[in-house]
Formats: sequence, C-alpha cells, structure tokens
Amino acid sequence: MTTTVAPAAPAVHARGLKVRQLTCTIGAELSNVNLGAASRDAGLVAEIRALLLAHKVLFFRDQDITRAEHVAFARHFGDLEDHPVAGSDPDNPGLVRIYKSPESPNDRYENSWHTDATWREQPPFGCVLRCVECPPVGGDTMWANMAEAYKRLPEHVKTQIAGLRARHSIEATFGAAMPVEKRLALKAQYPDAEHPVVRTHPETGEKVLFVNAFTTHFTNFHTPENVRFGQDYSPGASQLLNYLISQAFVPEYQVRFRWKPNSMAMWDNRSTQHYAVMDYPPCHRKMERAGIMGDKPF
Amino acid sequence: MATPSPAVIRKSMVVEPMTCTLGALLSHVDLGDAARDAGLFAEIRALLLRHKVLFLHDQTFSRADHVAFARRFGALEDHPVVGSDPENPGLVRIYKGPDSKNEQYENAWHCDTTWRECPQMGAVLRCVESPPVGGDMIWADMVEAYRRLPEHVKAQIAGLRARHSIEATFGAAMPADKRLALKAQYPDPEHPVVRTHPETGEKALFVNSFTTHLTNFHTPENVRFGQDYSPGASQLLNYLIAQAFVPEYQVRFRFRTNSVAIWDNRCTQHYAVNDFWPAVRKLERAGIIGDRPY
Repeated sequence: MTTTVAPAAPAVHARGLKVRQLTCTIGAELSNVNLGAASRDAGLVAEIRALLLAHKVLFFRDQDITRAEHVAFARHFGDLEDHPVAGSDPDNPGLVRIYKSPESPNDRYENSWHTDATWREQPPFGCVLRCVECPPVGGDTMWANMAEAYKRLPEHVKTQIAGLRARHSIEATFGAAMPVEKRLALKAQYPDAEHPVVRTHPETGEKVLFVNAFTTHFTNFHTPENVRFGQDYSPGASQLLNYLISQAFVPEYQVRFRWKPNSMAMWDNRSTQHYAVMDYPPCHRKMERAGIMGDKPF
Repeated sequence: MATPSPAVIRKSMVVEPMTCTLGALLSHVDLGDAARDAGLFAEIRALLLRHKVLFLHDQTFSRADHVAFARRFGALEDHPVVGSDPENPGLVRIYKGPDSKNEQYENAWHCDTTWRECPQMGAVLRCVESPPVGGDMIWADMVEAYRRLPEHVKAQIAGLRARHSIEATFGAAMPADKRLALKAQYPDPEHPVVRTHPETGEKALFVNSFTTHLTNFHTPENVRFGQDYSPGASQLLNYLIAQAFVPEYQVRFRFRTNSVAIWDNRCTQHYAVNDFWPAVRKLERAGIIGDRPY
C-alpha cells in the first residue's frame, strides 16, 4: 500500500486547524477552521491548498458562511466560471446552484463517475461545494483518487496507454437528451475537447488517469501494434476505454461523504473523479458550487 | 432543515438509517444483552430483514456472547480456508497485519460462501482491533439491484442458473493437488441467478465473484449461433455481477475497535476495502448456516 497511515489523533496545524484522514487513499476532514475567515487569511488558504494537494478532497462541517465568503474563498484559487446547463446565483456569479426539489426531474447527470467539465479545453482546477439543504438521509457524494488508479494499473496497460489521447463531449452527455437543434448548438459552442489519457498534475507532477464519463473515444489508438486488423480498432479501443473508465469503481480508491447542512467539500478536479449518489426520493436538496478555472491538461 | 430523528424502537435502542437503500446504525443497545433476551433479539432480527445490514459501535461483549448472539439466528460454521478461534468454534478469525500476507480475497464484491450448496444466512462481525484509518467495508443491496434491472434483462435471466466455485477463488492460488482436493471436498454448486428471500419473499440478484458461468443459458433465443454461447453468456454475467458496483445500492462503514456489523447474506453482497495493510486489523466473524437458495 502506498499512502502512510495517519496517526489515530488528528494532526494539528497552524491556527489550530485539525486534519483527520477519512481513508488511507483519499479525503481528509478539516476541523477548527471557518472558510469565511479563511477567505480573509492568505496564510490559511495556503495551508488548505497544501492539504488539498495531499488529500485531493477536503471536507468541512458547520460552515455557516455567506455566499460572498464562499465565492471569496474559492477565488483565492483562481477565477470562477458558470455552467452552460446548471444555472448560477445571479447575485454571485460563479456560484452554480445545484438545486433539486420534488418538482425537478430526476435527471441523472451527476451519478456517474466523472471529472467536472472535461468537455472544456481547460477543465476546472477544482470546486468548492457547500450543502445548503439536504435530506436527512441519502444523497452522499463519493470521490476517487485517479493518481492512485493510474499508479496501480498493470505495467502493460501503462505501456499501452502512454501517449494515447481521447475526446470528451458535452454533446454526448448533457446534450444527449436535448432536441437535435439545441444539442448541435451546444456542440458548436463547446466543441468536443481532446485530452491526454494520462495527464500530469501541474503542481504535484503525479500522473493521473484522465478518462471519465465525458470521454467518448480514443483519437490516436490506431498504431500497428494496437490495430493488427481493422476490427481491433473499434471493439478493442472501446474495451480498453471501458476498462480504464471502470478503474474509478474500485473501492480502494474511494471515499464516501455524508452531507449535513453547512457541510462543505473542496476537491482537486485534476486528480479525482466524483459520483453524486441519487438514492433519495424527490425532496429539497440544495448545493452551491464554486467552480475554479483550470489550465490545459498535459 | 430537519435533523434526522432516528426512530426509538425499544427502551432506548435508536435506529438511524445510513442511506436511502440499506444499512442502519443501532445505538443504545448491547448485543451481549440481546444474546440473553429473546424479545430484544427478535427486534434486531426484524430490523435486519428491513435494513439488510446493521451497524453498532462500542460492543465490548465476550467472545462467548458473540457466539451466543449469532447462534440465535442459527447454527454456526467454520471456514475451510480461514481459521477459527479454537475456544469458540464458529468464530472465524480474519486477522491482518505485518505478519499476514496482503491477500486479495475479500476485496471483491461477494456473498459469503455461495460455493456451498447452502450459503450462509448471514454473519455477525466484530472488529476487535482496527487500524487508525482504512479498512472500511461496503455492502450492496441485491434486492434493489434486481428491482431496478431493465425489464428485458429481468425477462432474460428468469429461470437462469449459475455455478459457483471455491476452487476458482480461494483455490486459484493453491498448488494443483491442494486445489483439486478443495474442489473434491466442496464441489461447485449451482444456484438460481435470481433467488427468492425465504423470509421476505423479495427477489434478489444472486451472482457474485464466486460465480464462474451460467449453466442453462443455451436456449434458442439466447444462442442464435453457437458463438453466442460463450461471449454472450460471459458478457451477461459480467453485466449482472457489475450491478453491485452501483453506489446507489451501497453503504460504506468505517470500523472502530468494537464496531459490529450484522448482515443478511441472502440479499446483500459486501466488499472489504484493503487499503490499510500492513497495519493491523483483527475481525472476528460468526457465520450462520443458511438454507438452499430457490
């Protein structure tokens, strides 16, 4: 096993910040910290940033902060961006509202393993998500460590996928249930992006397996070794893609988090995937997400 | 937003569902007391049928009480590969640490002992020493997995049967003679792909990582050409086995020392996350003999 096992007692950091690992692989709960105060404290932000790189997703409880503080905290990490399909708070641009209600359809976009917005040329750096209202049980969110998923691939798979590239599509995902003209307009606005199948984390240098539910196909699979006969191209490539995508399903790479009102999560979108479990009956569930712009994967 | 208000069942026992699908945390109850209290035991049994897996923390009862509580469900059995506590037959010791091998048997989605003709009814598992972090277990609700299959899949698998194998799983890393002896002792049984829960009447999807192949797949509709038999059946089996991977059917539990899980093995699968080795973790499991699936 790779990661060091944490001591039983939470580690204590500057300003009393406490850190408790939730699994051996990914995720830590921070306590004794208020992100509203952190939004005005660059030193504390730097500490949280270092912990994010170490644990990939951070959790916080009892964050009774304002929307302005939420945005201000997230903006320490970069500019925010809205989502073309999910709407934002008009008073707080960049704060995307993921609101479910008994009247809203059960639309099943978030309950697949995905990295946010890889259909963009520059997918987000990460997100800061706050639970405003949630059902008493259900609606957990899970994250998977895709650096660990890459590290533990068999060597022959690592060799096969080195240099491979894949296309990612909003049209084939958020667009797939739209009327054709709306779907094509969405595709025209956000042309399918191509990314490396293995990306390098720009800050830690880790290699990360970087295909997910937005990925439709490989773009440069056709080498003499991969394609012995023409028919290897299509089934071979999709079987390999399915195999890679299914790595996020491995429980050893995952953490599962149960929300309460005022719980927050911050994740590094460059090295994780997540899955929002939709097991709850129609109800009010209100999440607000600040998405931080990222850079072009390499 | 209302905070969850766990139901108060009896005296002070509190039941808190952990997901919308399966799993409940019981508190203010001691299973040592339940070993000696038929009424309390009956309530826990009813909760097990309803929630499929029950969790408790801070259970400091003795090993004898552990066995006595589990025996209220039925007779216990040992495991042919994993050893038991010599003083408490039926209490299987799953001890991991620097001195044990980093084995990969429990971290697959499985029902316990479906390689037996009569797989276990359930189990009562206590963590007697937990690592500081890691070693969670996950359970999946196979009734919900069946219920939410597409109708055409339900139609296709009605009446299908499958073979389950200890040889192909626990035996697969053994030398050939040992593996064949294990197979001779526990011949691969056949079970229905969809079983009916003998107490609730619920239908449960009943293939898991012990399942090797479908045994009666070859109907004119399924096998249009001979080549449909082999890839078709294995693709269908893989699809069915993969249903346990769906997070909506799962609950994940973090053990502490003296945490207990009780599960109904007839309608759930589980996966023991092996992210902690070589840290020490000691589990003790009382496995309860079950009946023949139909």
